[in-house]
Amino acid sequence: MEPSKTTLTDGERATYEWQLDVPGFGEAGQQKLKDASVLVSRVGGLGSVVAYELAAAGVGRMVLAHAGDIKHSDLNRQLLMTHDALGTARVASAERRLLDLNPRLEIVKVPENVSEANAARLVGDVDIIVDCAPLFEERLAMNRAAVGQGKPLVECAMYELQAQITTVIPGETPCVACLHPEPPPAWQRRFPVFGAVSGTVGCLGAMEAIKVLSGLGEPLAGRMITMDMRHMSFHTLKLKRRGDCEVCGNPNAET
Amino acid sequence: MKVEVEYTAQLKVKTGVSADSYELDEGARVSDLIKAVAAQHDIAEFLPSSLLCFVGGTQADDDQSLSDGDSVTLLSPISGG
Repeated sequence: MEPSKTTLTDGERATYEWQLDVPGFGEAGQQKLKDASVLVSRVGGLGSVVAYELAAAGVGRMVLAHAGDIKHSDLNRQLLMTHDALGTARVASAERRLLDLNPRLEIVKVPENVSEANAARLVGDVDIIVDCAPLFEERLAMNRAAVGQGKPLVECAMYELQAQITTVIPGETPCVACLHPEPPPAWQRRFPVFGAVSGTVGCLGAMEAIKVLSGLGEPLAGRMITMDMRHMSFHTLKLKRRGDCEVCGNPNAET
Repeated sequence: MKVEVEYTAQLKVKTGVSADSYELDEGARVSDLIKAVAAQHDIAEFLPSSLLCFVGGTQADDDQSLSDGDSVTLLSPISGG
C-alpha cells in the first residue's frame, strides 16, 4: 500500500463515523481503507456484493475485472447489474451503481476476465485481490500472480446453497494450488445459485479484505469456513500447505 | 473401528446424503476410507485428486491413520461466483 495521499476529510469522517467506533479500527483503519486498492475478479453474484460492501466501507480504489454484457440470467444475483442496463457492459453498470453509493471511489474498469495473460498486470496494480471467479482456470491464474507478487488473496466461492472461503497470505498459508493443483474435472461452468447465498459469502469476503487491509481482527489465514445454508451449518477447517506445491512450494513446509 | 464421514459441496449433492459412517479395519488410513466411500457412492468424477480430507477438522493426507470415532469431512472444490 502506498503512503497516504490525503487524510480523511470531514465528509468521510461523517460517512464512516459508525464504523470508526469499531474497537481496533478507528481513523487509522479508515485511512488504510482509503489508501487501499482492491482487485475484484468478476463482479457477478459474489463479486457484486464484495465490491458494494467495500465501496460502502470506504476503500479508495477498486479494479473491477469482468468481461461481457448483462444478461437476464444475471439478475437473480449480480446486484450491481440492473434491468435497464441489459445488453450493456457489466463493468459499466457496476461502476454506475458503486459511484451512486460512494462518489469518492476511484474505479478502474477492466472488461476482461482474469487469465494467465493479464493476471500479473492486474495484481501488480492493487494491494489485495478478492477472487470471485466461476472457473478454476481463472482462480489458479490469479493465485499464481498473487503468490508471485506477495499479495494477499481472499478466495470465496459458492455452489447451490453451500459456500467456502479462505484467505491466502503468500509465504504463510496454503495457496489455491496447494488445495487444487489442477482444475477439478467435475466442476462445470453453470452452477445452481441463489443470490442470497453468493451475497452471504460476498459479505464475508469483503470483511476479510477489510480485516487484512486495516489489521483488524484475525483473517482466515490457513483456515477455511464451509457453510451449508440448506441446514445453516457452518464449520471451520484447518488447511495444510503442500511442500511440493508448484506455486508456493516450500521445502520446509510440512507435507 | 467406526468413523463418521460428512460430505460437503458437490460431493454432498452427488452422494445424496450429508453424512454416513463406515466400519474400517484397525490401522486403516484415509486412502482406505476413500476406497470404502467410493464403493458405497458414485464419486469417480472426484477421484483421484479432487477431494480434500479433514480429520477432526484438520486437513489430512491419504496416508494418515484413522482412529475409532474419528470425524472426517470430505470436501470437493467449488468455484461458483
